[in-house]
Amino acid sequence: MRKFTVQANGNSYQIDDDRSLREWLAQWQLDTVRPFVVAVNDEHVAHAQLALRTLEPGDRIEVLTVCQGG
Amino acid sequence: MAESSSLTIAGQALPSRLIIGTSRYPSLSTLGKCVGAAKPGLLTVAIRRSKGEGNDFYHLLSKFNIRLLPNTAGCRNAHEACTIARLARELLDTNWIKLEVIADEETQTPDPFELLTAAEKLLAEDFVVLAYCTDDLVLCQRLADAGCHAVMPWGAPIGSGQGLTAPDRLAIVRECLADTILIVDAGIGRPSDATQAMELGYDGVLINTAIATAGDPVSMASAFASSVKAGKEAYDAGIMPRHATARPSSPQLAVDFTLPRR
Repeated sequence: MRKFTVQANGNSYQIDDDRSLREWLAQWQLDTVRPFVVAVNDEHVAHAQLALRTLEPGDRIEVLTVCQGG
Repeated sequence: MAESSSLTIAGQALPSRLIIGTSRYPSLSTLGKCVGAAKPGLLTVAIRRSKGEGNDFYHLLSKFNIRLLPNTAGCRNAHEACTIARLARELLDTNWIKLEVIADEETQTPDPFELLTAAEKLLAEDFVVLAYCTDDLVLCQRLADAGCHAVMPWGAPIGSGQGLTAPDRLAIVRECLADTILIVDAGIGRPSDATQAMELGYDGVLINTAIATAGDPVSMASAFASSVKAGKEAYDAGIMPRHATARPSSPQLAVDFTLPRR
């Protein structure tokens, strides 16, 4: 099992590679706001793919939602 | 007459020619009341990092049967804007995007080159693109030629409330792009500015700060709705040309009632 660091919404997390992105988002409580959408290294990861996606060292994860805007 | 004809974008008839931004309101409650008072055709929203604190804002807007228009605010190049647009597509289950690419933070001036590049990419991916731009005629033409579903030149810099600082330029854009949906986006400060835009023949206006920061935002939202309707009706009715000299509105007297001098 590898251990490495990733960034999620600007925070650093030490993780291992035995879980999917969906599980990590739940662990970090970044899946609580609905709706939300996820990008890894600026690439969109569809909801249907979250459970299949694994992370790599240095990955940058962004979890986004809708907010007020003009 | 033609006011009853709705603004139709990408085959979607909108219930109003007024588009409202959802930022800077004193409270969510006030925003909701403004939406209820204005009954806008679209509501713009932004895409930002989730803070994991719930999303009352989204749930509020969901109560209205009004299409949400995500924007690419904060994006500085075509790559960022396209990325946000693709994320917004899944987030809100819409392929509509208010495309903005800002070159200068201080003035919030759009980057015309990155904007056009982003528009071309997103249109190729079947997005419905409403492009926020300056009132530069060539830029507006290029965006229209690319296939943007609406071209949205600014009236003045975002949030400035200056109104239409260059109405002649906007009029030229209107004249040259007769078949393009044109919406004045940004800079409008007063309902009369919105009326002026509609009297120029624009198809709609996008308002945010002027409503959100008014002393009474709900009344201002209603005022803007009325002003857009009045301007559209006036344009369709045919506005009289300006004349350099007086044109008496009453018939001239056929008799001379001039009193004799003493």
